[in-house]
Amino acid sequence: MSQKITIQEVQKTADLARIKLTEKEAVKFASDLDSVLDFFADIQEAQSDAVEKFDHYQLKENQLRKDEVSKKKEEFLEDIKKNFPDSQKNYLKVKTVNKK
Amino acid sequence: MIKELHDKLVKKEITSEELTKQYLKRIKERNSEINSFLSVDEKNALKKAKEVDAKIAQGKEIGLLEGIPMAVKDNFCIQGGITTAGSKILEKYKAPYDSFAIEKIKKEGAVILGKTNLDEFAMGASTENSAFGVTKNPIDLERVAGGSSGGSAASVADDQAVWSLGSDTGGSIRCPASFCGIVGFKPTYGRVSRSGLIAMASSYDQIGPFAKNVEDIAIILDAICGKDPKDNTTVAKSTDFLNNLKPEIEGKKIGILREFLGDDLNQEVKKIIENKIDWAKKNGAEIIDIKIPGIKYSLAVYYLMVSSEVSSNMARFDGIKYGERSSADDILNTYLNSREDGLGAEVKRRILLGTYALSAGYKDAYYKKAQEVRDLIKQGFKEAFEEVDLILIPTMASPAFKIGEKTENVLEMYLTDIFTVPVNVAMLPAISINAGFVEEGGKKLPIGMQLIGPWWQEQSILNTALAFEKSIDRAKLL
Repeated sequence: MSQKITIQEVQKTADLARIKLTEKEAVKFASDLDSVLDFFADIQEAQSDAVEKFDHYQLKENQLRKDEVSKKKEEFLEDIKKNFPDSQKNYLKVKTVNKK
Repeated sequence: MIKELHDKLVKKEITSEELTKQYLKRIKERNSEINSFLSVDEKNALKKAKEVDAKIAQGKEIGLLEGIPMAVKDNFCIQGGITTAGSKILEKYKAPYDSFAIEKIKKEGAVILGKTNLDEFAMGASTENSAFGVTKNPIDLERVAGGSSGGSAASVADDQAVWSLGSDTGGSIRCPASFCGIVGFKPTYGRVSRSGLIAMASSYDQIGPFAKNVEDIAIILDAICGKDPKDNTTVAKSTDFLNNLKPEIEGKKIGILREFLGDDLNQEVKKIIENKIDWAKKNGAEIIDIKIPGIKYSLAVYYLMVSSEVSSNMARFDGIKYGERSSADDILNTYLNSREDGLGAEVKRRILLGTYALSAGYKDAYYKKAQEVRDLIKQGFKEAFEEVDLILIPTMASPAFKIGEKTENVLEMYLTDIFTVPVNVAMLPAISINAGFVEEGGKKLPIGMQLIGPWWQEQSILNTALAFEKSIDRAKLL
């Protein structure tokens, strides 16, 4: 596993994360990420294969709850609609997702 | 402080309205300088205060937190109010519901003064990453208040709030508590519901209180801890911290991680911590040197896992359903432009780091390995707690640094979390209390110390912290 992260890898990662980067930013991030990744490499030497999972909860069974709606739709709908960046009647409006 | 104010309210020596007005006035006087509050809700604060006063006038009993003014970090949703998370992308976002922790304190009758400043999406240790300016340290205005809960800490330290709520993912309560000279507590992961807290790293985030003293912390913890069906990581463990609060130091086994008190530690910080260790010994505590294998990997495990979880949690900020949407010709550019315009550099950096760490080909080497090493560290603490009751370490390796001092070098900023992060990695509870001061530039800069306890042993931490608190000359504090 290479320690040096290339500008191409940064751009590909940025595409995956839907982050826009200028050439200059890509170079800066590559160097930032590089120093952090070097730092991460240390954990490779940790002997962690035989480690037991320790769960501090020590619960005897899964915690479940009923899958039921606790509040009325009307209680939230207006507040949620207020946050829509763009809307038409009761609908959230966005750019076309499916192109022919 | 809370009990004293409560008594005054009950005895009608002061009304909640008068008390609230005092704090609102202080905020008006100080906020343009300190920048602790992002928004103040005078209308609702006074409305609540008057309700409490009416209750007292009718001779009804009131709870300890009732009518007492406090502040909330702006990554907690409060219904109808703007919740920014310190980010431009949520600059006008109105939360449609209350966080569970807010529901709980509202039930207690707390007077919520407003929302406090934070590093954007709680990512940072200085509040310099806020999209709305840094929060200054009330003790030295050229220095940071710490982060990410800088505003919550500064508001309490500067008497702009009696107590406040913050969140701690890698030290975001303990760091500003240390820099501002007040008490901050991060409970065991699972004590306080994260429902309604804007998520940063879901297996690390935990909500906790800031206050001027340990007794207040106990009162607040009793109010906010408890099971929430909306947060499956919470447990149905009841608490009675205040009623069981008493100073405990004699016979306590206190573990010292000597590797953290070496020659590369700021020597003044070292001396302050060693004074506390000596005090504990003189008062009957048994001091035991301990080692925790794997603890040296804490920072790497933390930043790896947290960045990965952040990259996932930040995906929802895409300009679609809520938040700022930038103009674009198509859907892809809606995402790209909204995130570019709305998210700051540190947030982008962690998203990129996390996305890279989780991408095909790297996921096993990074996240999976980090999870295994996390278990190694947890095991290490578990074994240590078989020998000792509590672990004592510094909170931060130095006093508050100057604004702008660490913003150039990313790694240098990350390294400031060295003493706080192992606690989150292991999901343990820990307190930061003031341990002394370092004099710099004519100012007395606070130095915090941590007491880390075993899982679910908040009472033990509170009781020993209380003993330490009584050892500090209160006149020397702020």
